[in-house]
Amino acid sequence: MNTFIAIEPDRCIGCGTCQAACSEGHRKAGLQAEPRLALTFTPQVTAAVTCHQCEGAPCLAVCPVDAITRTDVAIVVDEQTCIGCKLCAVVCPFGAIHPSGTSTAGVAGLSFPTPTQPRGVSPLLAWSIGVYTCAVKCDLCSTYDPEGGPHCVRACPTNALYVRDVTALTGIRKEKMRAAAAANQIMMNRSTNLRRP
Amino acid sequence: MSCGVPGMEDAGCLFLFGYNPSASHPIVSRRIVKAKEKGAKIIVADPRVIETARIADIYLPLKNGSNIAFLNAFANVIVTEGLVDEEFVKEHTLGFDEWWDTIKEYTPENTQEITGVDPQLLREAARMYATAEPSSILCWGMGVCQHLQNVEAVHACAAIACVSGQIGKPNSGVAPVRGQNNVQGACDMGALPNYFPGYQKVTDPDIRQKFADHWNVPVEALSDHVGYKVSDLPKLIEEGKIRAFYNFGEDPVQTEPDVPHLTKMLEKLDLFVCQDIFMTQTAAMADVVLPATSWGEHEGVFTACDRTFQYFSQAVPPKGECKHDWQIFSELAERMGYDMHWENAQQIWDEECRALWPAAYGATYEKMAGTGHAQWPIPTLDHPGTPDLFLGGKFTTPEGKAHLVAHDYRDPTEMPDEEFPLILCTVREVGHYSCRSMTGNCKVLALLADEPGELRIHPDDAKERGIRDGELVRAWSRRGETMSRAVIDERVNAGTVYMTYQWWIGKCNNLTLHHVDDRSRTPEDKFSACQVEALPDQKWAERHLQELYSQLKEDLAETAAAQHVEPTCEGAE
Amino acid sequence: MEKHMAVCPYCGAGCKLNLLVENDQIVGSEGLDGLTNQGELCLKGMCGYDFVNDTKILTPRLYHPMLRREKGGKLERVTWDEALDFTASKLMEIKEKYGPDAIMTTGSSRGTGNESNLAMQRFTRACLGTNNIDNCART
Repeated sequence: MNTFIAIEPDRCIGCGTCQAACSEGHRKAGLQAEPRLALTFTPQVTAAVTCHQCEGAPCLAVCPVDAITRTDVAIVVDEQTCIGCKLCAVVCPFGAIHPSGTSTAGVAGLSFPTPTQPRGVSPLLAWSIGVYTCAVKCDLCSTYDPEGGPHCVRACPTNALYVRDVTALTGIRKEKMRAAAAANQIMMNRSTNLRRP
Repeated sequence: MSCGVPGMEDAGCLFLFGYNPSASHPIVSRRIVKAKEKGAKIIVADPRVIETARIADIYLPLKNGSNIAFLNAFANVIVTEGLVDEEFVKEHTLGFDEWWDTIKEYTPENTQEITGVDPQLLREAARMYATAEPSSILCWGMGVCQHLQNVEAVHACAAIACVSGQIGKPNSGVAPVRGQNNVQGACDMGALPNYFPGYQKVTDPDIRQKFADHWNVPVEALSDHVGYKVSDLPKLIEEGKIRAFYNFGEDPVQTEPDVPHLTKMLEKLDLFVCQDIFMTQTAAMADVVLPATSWGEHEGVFTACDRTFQYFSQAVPPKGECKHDWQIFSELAERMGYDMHWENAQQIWDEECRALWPAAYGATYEKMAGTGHAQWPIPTLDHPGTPDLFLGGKFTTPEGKAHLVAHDYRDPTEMPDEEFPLILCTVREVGHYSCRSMTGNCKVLALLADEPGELRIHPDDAKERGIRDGELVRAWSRRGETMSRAVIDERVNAGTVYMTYQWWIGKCNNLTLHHVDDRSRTPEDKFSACQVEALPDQKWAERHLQELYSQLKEDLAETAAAQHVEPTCEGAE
Repeated sequence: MEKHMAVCPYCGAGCKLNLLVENDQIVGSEGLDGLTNQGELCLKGMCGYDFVNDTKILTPRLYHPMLRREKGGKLERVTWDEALDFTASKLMEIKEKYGPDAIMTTGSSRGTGNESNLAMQRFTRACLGTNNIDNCART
C-alpha cells in the first residue's frame, strides 16, 4: 500500500513554503537541498506536484544500480549509489524525479558556476562543469525524520497538503461511496425521511 | 487597515483591488482562503490572474493604469442600482453631491474601453460588494499606490466603502495592507516629514511645544514646516538643496526608481552616511559606514500591518563592534552637543512613544510579553486594543465625518509607443524581501530563487519576439537596461511584463520611470514603458550573468573586507 | 538549544516565531501561536533567519565602522570614536553652512524596530533641527 502526498489546489496559494521546508529538512540531513516538490501553475490550477510512491514504481524497475529501493514507507534514492543516468526521471509519469548536484563554484579555483547550456534545455540534459548529479525524489522525509512526518505537509500555511495513507484513503473511499449511494437515490427519484441535508 | 488581519476571515466579502497577498503576505492570504471556506465572497480586480483570482467568485481583469476609471464606474453602479446606504451617507459623510457630480459621468459601459472590463461583470461585482453581509472589506496594495493617480484611487476606495455602508462596523472597511514588517511602525514613530510620533502634525504649534518641552529644546529649535520626502532625494541633490544624507537601514540603490540617475546624484553629496547590517550596494557608496545590530541581536517592538504592536526579543549577541541603532544616534547627538540618552529599548518605548502618543499609552512591554500584543488605539493600561477603526461611523476628521472626494481619470505618464511597446509593472517575489540583502543571505531562500529573477511575459508577446521559456532576455527603457530570465506565463496579460524588484543583476529599477505624484510623492512603479528582446547567444548570456553576479559579490566582499584590517595608530585613540 | 521569541522581520503580517539558538548561532525557527499567524509561517519566516549568522552568500555583514577619508578613496576601518566624530563634525559643518534643511535622514521600516525610529526622528528634529526624515513606505 503506497502512502503519498496529495494537494487541495483551491487552498494552495503557490507560496513555496512546502519547497522551503523540503529543502531545509534534506539539507540539514546532509542530503541534496533541491526541493522534491515542484510548484506547477496553469491558468486554473496551482499545485505542488510530487512523487506518488507508485506500487508498480517504474523508477524502481529501471534503476541499473539499485540506487532506488522500496522501504516500508516510501521509494527512496540512495544519493551515494546513484550514478546520475536519469533513467528514473525519464520514466516517471509525474515528472517527480529530477537530477540535482552540488555546485563546485568557490572550490579549487572555480570562482563561479560555469553553465554550459541555455537554461531552456531540459534539466535532464543540463550539466555544469564539475557537478556530479544524482536523482532526487520525495522520500516522505522517511530517510532522515521518520517520526516528524513529511515536512512539507507540516509546513503548509494553508493546510493544502495531505498525507494520503491507508487510513485516510479508506475513509475517503467510504465517503465517496456514501455520496454515490445518496446521489443514486436522487437519480432514482426516491426520497426517504432518513436523508440528511 | 480599518480592520484586523484575523477579522478578515469573518467578513462576508473580500474585494482585492491591486493586491496580491499570496506573494506579498502569504499569512494574510491564508486568512482569505479561510474566509472563502467560511462562505465569504471573493472579488479580485487585477490585470494578472493572481493566485486569489483562481478562488474568486468574480475576477475582473482590468487594464494596467485604469484604476480611477474602474473605481468610478464601480461607485456609479452602487448609486444607480440603489445600493447606497442612505442613512450612513447622511449621518457620517460630507460632500456626496459634489462626489456624485464626478462619478455620474463614469458608467461600466462608457469606461469599458479604458478598463477592458465586461460591464455586466463589473455590475455584478459592485452588487456583490455592496450587499454582502455582515460586511465587506476592500483590500489594496501597491497596485493602488504606485500609480500616477494613487491618492485619487485611495479617495475612491474610501468613498466606495462609505457610500455602500461597508465601513464603521466590525471586520469591514478599507485594508491597505502595509508591505514591510515595520513600515507601519516607521510611520507610527514619526519617521515621516510631516508627523511627530503618533501622526501629530509638525505644523501644529501646540504639538511642537509639547515635543520641545519633552525633548528639552526651545520650541524654535524644531522646524515648523514639513520636510522633504525621500522619493525627491535625487532631485533635491541635483538642485543643491540636500548636501548630507543619513541613510538608516534602507537600500535606495536597489529599491528606488530610476537607479542610474539616483546613483549619479548620491555621488554628489557632501556627506553620505549609511547605517546598516550589510555591505549593500548603497553602503558601498557611502562616506561613513556604521555597523548596526541585526534583528535577532536586539529587542524592540514592531507594528504589523493592522496596527498591532508586538515585542521581539534578542536571541544572539551582536557581531563585532556592532551597536544598536538607537545607541549610535544617541552617541552622535552627544557629540553634537545634544543630550539624548537611554539605558535600553524599553525606556525609549515608554518615554518617546507611550508618553507622547496618547493612543499608544496602553501598549506596555508587559502587555506584549510572550505572544501578547497591543493594537492601537490603546489609550489606557486596561484597554483591550482596537481591531476595528471608525466603529459607528465615527471618523477622525474635525467634523467626525468622512469626506467623499472624486477625481477624473487621467492616462498614466508614460504610455507605451512604437519604440517601447510594453508596459513594465514591478511586483513582489514571495521568497525574497525588499532589497534582498537579508533573504539573499539565507541558504534555502537563495537556493529557491536567484539572479537574475524573472520577467513574466504573455505567450503572444514572447512569440512575437522569438523568446522561449527560461531564456535570458534584455529589457530596456528610456532610463536604462537590465538582464532577466523570461518566464512565459498565461496568467499575465498581453502587453505588460512583470518583474520583481529584488534582483541586483536583473534590476528592474534600472528601467522604472521616476515620476511621483504631487501629494504622496510615490513613484509610478507599476507603469513604465519598456521593450524586451531575446539574447541571441544563450550560452554566452548564462555565463555572462554568472560573471556579472560574481563580480558584484566580489566587489562588495572586497569593500567589506577592509573592515577586518585594524585601524592604524593614527586613526585609533 | 535555546528558544527566543521574535516577530518575523519580513512582511507586515507580524508572525510570531521562536528562534532556535545553538552556540550563539540561529539554527532554526518555529511558528508560535501569534495573533495573525496562529502557529503558521511562510517560507521566509521558516527559512529566513540565517542571514544573521553572516553566511556571505550575497554580501557580508558589517562588523566595524568604516570611513572614506576623501571622495573617490576607499572605505577603511576606523574606531567608533573616529567615525562618530567625523560624522558629527561634518553634519555640524553642513548645518552651519547650508542650514538644517540641507540634511536628510531616513527611518527604517525593517528589522531595527520602533525604538530606533523614535531615536532617529528625535535626533533629526531636536538635534539637527529639520523635518527631513522619511522611510521607504512608498517603495
